[in-house]
Amino acid sequence: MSEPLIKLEGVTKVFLTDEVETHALSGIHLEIRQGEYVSIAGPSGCGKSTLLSILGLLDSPTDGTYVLNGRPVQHLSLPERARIRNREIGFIFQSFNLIGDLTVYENVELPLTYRGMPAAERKAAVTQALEKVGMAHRAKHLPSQLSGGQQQRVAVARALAGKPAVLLADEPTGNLDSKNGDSVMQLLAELHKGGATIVMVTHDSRFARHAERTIHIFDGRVVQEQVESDPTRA
Amino acid sequence: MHDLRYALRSLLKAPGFTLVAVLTLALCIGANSAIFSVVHAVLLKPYPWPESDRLVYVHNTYRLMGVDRAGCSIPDYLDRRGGVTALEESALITSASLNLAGADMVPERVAGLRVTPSLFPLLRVPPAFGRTFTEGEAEPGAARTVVLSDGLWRNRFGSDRGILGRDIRLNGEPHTVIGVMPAGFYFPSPRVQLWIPFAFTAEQKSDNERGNEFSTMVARLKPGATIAQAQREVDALHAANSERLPQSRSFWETSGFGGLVLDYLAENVSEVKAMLWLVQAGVAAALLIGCANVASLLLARASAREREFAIRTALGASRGRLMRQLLTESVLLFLAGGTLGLLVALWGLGGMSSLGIDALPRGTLVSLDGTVFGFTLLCALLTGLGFGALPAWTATGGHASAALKEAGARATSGRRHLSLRSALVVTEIALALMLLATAGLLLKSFQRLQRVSPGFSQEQLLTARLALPPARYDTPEKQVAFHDAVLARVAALPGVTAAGFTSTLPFSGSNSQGSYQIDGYTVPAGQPQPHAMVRTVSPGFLKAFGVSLLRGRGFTQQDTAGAPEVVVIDRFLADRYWPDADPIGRRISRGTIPGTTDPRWWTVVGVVAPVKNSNLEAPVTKETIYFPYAQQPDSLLTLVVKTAVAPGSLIAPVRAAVLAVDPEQPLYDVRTMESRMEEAMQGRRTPMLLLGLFSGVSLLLAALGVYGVLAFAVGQRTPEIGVRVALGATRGNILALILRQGLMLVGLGVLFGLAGYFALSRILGQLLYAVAPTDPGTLLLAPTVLALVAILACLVPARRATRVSPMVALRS
Ligand SMILES: Nc1ncnc2c1ncn2[C@@H]1O[C@H](COP(=O)(O)OP(=O)(O)O)[C@@H](O)[C@H]1O
Ligand SMILES: [Mg+2]
Repeated sequence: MSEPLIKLEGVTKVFLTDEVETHALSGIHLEIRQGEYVSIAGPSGCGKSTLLSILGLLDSPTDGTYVLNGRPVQHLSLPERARIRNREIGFIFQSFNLIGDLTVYENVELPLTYRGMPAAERKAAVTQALEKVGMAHRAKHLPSQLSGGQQQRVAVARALAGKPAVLLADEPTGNLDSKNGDSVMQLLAELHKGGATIVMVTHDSRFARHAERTIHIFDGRVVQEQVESDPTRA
Repeated sequence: MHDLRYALRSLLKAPGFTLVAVLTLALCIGANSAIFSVVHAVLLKPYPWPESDRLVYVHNTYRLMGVDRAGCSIPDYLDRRGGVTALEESALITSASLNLAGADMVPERVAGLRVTPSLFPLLRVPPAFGRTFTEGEAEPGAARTVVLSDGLWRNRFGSDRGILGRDIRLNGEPHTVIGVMPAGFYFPSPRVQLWIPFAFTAEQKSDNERGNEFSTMVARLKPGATIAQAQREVDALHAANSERLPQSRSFWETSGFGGLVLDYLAENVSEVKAMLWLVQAGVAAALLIGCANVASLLLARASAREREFAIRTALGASRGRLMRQLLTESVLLFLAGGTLGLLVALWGLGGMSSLGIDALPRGTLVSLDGTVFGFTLLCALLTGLGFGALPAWTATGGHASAALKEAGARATSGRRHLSLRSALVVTEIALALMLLATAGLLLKSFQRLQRVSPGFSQEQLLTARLALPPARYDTPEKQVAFHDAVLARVAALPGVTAAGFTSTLPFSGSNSQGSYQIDGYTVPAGQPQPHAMVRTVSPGFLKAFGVSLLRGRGFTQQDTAGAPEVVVIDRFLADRYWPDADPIGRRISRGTIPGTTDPRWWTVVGVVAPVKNSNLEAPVTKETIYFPYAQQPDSLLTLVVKTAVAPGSLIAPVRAAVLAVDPEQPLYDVRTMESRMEEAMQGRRTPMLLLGLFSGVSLLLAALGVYGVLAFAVGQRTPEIGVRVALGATRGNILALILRQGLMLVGLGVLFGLAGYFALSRILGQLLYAVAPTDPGTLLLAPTVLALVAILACLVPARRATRVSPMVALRS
């Protein structure tokens, strides 16, 4: 079997606030292969978001190693981390996090501009990403003019546009009603079918079943891994 | 009352904010009060004589000869006093240099004024006790009398009321004290300490005296009469005189002779008016900038309390109620700033008097009086209401329900605050730029002026005045002998390299000019007669003063009373009348041979460089003729001593040398030439320094404003910045993002500032020397300096923005 895309070994994360240590993650071992769709589940406060933030290089582990695409990344400099976030990672947040002053198009374009991509290439990539999520007709709109579900679709397009190695989603349906939530989940499933690697945090077991594999976390530790027999069956 | 208590509590709860705001306001309001106290005392405050706004000057003028204001001759005064119905009362005054001495007194120089008895009724100020002059006391040969100022009476005569009827010695002659003026009275300035009657001889009243304008005419307009009306009557008088005196008519016509009625106060302050208003405008701009900063702080505070207001609104408080509460707070803040500002003003005035405020016309009268207090209070109140209303209105404008709903609504209200604060900052930058450019131009102008040569060398030069009392020095021979003896002793002092006397010292506020004829030159029809500045100087003066000899020779000890009469002229005269010929050996005539009516001819023996007399900025437009003092004696001369050592160290030896010649002769107004020149430059230096100071403060305040707004903006944008970092923005990207926002404000401010500056630059033009208001260097430099400082101010919040963690995106 080929080298995994993501490999965590003994990753711990300790937060120090007011001299109180919070062990958010303790000795996480995790491997995710190219093209996998993994969901992370567990009760609130168990460390899911912390794990995702480490996977997305938004934060660094207190201890342990993280190998992304065959390269250890836990000790990289700030500019290199920014570069990897920009090129290898696509993040989808619970609260969409679109920038209110920018149009849909500009929001999707934003990570590409940080990459220094030429304008023509950017245009193609943005258009393609918006088409993929079915939001091309809203390119000129401001986020405030869209519904929550539409905003999350734009956020997905923004994560996709740079063709990252992995899509990370932290409770992407948490701020959506069930109908909009369903359609975003549907979108992720389609992306996965198209070959995308997805790691998604959710505490909704209904959605967790979309994934091929579900990792259960409790109190900062992986307590169970569960493989779905047929991930396409909802 | 409840509002007041609440406001006080809420201000004390935020001591940092309160301190910064009160200090900013104290500084800005205080500076305004200080400058206003100067503007008020110099430009606005009426003189302390009843209805002083009706006082006017009536000058003679020779418009076509470049002499706008020539004083007034005795016959012209007499004509006008009787013949102009628009004038209620008139007086003629002339300065009197007096040595006050007595048996039990050290001789002292006092500034006195010779006045017609009509002066005191004209001013409408009665004496504190005693009386003022009768018409009879102003007759030649009448018993000598004197009226004292309150200050002189207190300081020199121990407030003794028994002084009335006693004699004091002035210039060696007894004068009977007939009255003492009340405390607080002065005329024309507080420097003048006594008044003596101005008597006219029969000869002085005759037409022969016309053109001899050594006095000044002041008058009071009748109630309801205007200056234009008086001017018309004066013009009519001159037309009549012209008819009556055909021998004078052609000269009067070619010289543009006439009378000129001018408002007394406006005329006295005309030279400093524009500059003072400019400084006041500058400091007002600084105040606006300071207020904008405080308003911005208030806005930030109000913004933080928006939830509190929403809750209060929900509980039934009306918007007016909330606004009143906020306004109480800001007015309290501004009043505290104003009160502290008075202290700043007091302190500032002390500083300004060392900058030479005293040298301004009426400058010694500058004080923090009731009007200034009122101004300060009004300033604080109006700015407090104005700049407090803005944040109060904005903060209480939100809908109660929206504010309670948090996030989204908060973001929009945050944006509203931000755009308001941005507008404030843009205004601040615009004002600061205008100030900076103005200060820069004044500086450049000043530097250029300082490089202008006055035509003599002011370094290592000690100057002092001597006034020989006519009683003891009643003949020209005695005067010349005295001056010769002084020169001999002074020249022998160690450290002295040259010494001389002059009747008119440049940059001392005095001048003397008159008509002359040129041998072989007939004045073309319609041209004025030659008119020159005239000086009487001793041998050695030109050398001691460092005036370059261009041709021929200077005066020597051989140019005595009996020797051939000689003059030295300046290049201006030579170029004007002998452009192609050697002036040496040519003759000019001025005055008459003593005891005859024959013209007195003088032979040109030397040509020297032109000398500027009263300011560096104006080019020399009139020739100068130097007469040797042995042939044209004078009893009022200024001693100039060129030294090889520090001039100050020679004051005591020079004084001793004078006393050795005449132990009763005081030497007064002893100063280095450099300090005189500096004083002459003070009219420019002080406003330049003040505007420099204000523009510096404004720059700082504007930078603080920019900083405040950007810091607020970074706070507002933290979640957005977090998202951007999560998406891969580098620190450079974030820095650029925030700097761009800052630069936007700076750019807009600079744009508005330049527009405002150009709109006002026309006014500035008249205050500049050899620099155009649109001087490209300054107009480039000022925005650059401003932009650099503003960008530095932007960098602090921008750097903070680069430290926003991408985790913010995940957790928001
Ligand atoms: N920045 C932080 N500082 C201190 N403690 C934190 C921080 N972030 C997360 N935690 C703590 O770490 C634990 C895991 O949090 P999180 O990963 O957000 O949980 P989940 O996403 O599973 O709800 C919690 O106890 C949380 O309080
Ligand atoms: Mg979470």
